[in-house]
Amino acid sequence: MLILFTYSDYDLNEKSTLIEKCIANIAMGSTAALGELYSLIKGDVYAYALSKLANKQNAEDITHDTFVQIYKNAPAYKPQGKPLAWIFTIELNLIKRLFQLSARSVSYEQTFNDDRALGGEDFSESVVNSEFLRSVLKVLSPNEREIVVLHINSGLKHREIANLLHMPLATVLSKYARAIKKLQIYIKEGLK
Amino acid sequence: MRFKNFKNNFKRAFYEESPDLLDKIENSCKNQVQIAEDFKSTEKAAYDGRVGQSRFVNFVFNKWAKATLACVLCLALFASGVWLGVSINGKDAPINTEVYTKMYLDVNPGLQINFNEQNKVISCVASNADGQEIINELNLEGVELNTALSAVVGAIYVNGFISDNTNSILVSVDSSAEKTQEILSSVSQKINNVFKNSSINCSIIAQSVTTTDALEKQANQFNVSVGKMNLVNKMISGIDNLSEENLLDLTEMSINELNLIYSQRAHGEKDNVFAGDVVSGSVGGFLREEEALNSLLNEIKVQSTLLQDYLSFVEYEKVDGEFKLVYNLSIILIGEIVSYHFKVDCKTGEVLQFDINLG
Repeated sequence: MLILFTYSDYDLNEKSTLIEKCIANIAMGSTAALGELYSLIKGDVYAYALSKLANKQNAEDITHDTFVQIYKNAPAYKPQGKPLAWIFTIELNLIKRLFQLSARSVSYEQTFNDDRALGGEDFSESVVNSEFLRSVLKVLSPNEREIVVLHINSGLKHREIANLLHMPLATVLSKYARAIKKLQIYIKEGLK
Repeated sequence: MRFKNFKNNFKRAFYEESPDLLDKIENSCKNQVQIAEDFKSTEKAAYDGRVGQSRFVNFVFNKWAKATLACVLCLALFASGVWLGVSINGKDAPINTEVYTKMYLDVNPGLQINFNEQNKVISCVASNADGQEIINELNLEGVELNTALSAVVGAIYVNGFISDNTNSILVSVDSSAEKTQEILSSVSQKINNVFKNSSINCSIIAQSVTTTDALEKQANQFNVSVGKMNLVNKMISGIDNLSEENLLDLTEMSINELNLIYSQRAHGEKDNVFAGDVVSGSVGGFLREEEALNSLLNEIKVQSTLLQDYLSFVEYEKVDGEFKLVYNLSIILIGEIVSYHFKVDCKTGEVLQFDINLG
């Protein structure tokens, strides 16, 4: 049965359990489970790619490749209650590879830590349909964007984000704090 | 727009923004070979079984850990010659059977001991299964109050219910005002005497209670002792951030967990609710407030000299789908216009949630 999930607030633990069940069934080759997983986390996977790349086509490619990699690697997944961290690790590796392919003359570390998105900073209408989302994404720097997306959109804890991005927890917290300050100013100004 | 609305709008916008790539993904997957081809259906059952089962494994481990601890404690008590088990009743003469004093003892085992005016045990009633286990080991009828108290606490200790991390004992006394005062003033010392040959430092809450029909009925409803029910009711009345909504959660907590929240009562303005309570020792198994604050400052790499002010209170709340006791720590740093709000795990010091507000 295909279960339709939306962006709505569901319990993160419940969501993690559902994701793990999907992965277990995908490991048995179930394409139906792949469909369920897609409905469940497409917003998470696409949002992270878009926030990181600021490029619609690249974000779609990364989303596609991430689900293919999940399908391929599902039998090797060991359920530990944190499937989203595993999925974002796959996605981040794909994004890193894309960065490397696009900047062969520059070392990976230089490219990836440059804090500039691949495809530019232009969140135009051709990249993001939602005006609200466009304006929010423009307010934040790339690093702030990915932390906000991982925390607010996908519910990852700051510690999990720190582990995923290989950043000290203090750095994640301070970047998040800075982002929230910017967003609060944005929200207040939006109310005027 | 409020920040919560912002979050919901943010999620919704991303969800709606996501393209429909499922057909393309499914086509691509048809050509893919999954790794670990030997992942057979028989293994899937085991795989499914592991999903979400870590708590069960922990539970089993804890059971074994508790059993081991109980054995070690038994040996320790035998070695120090403090065995307080059976056959401490040496009184054959008929005793006065009119109940004058009721004493409710709660650790995790909960039991009620009834005494006559001469402070001799008339009867002993368990308020939960663990309490029954303790009563089965003892024959207290006719035993003097202090001896009975030592025997029961000793048996609870021997059975592994008291340790450095679960060191809280609730003693509730229902008697004449004079007798209640006499018992409450000496109960901590009596209990601590039981542990004088061990490293355990107990945290004791001693309170007076009036056993009414309504209180007994409520205690039966929540399957706790009258003493524990009384304490929970007082906490709801006397601690600012608790309400009737917390009643069930509080009654299901161990005495050690209740004790941690009880220790926050000084932050409220209704301290008279707790007037007459005799409290000693500090609760084990949790970080103290200042330890939690230091753990937090260390975690976020902020020097304590930069701290302008902070506010802390303990709450039992659902964090990431799991109920935990957390310190809600709000800190203001020198020169900052914002306040930072953290939820810190009372047991581990882990930062569970973080938020920030202007002003």
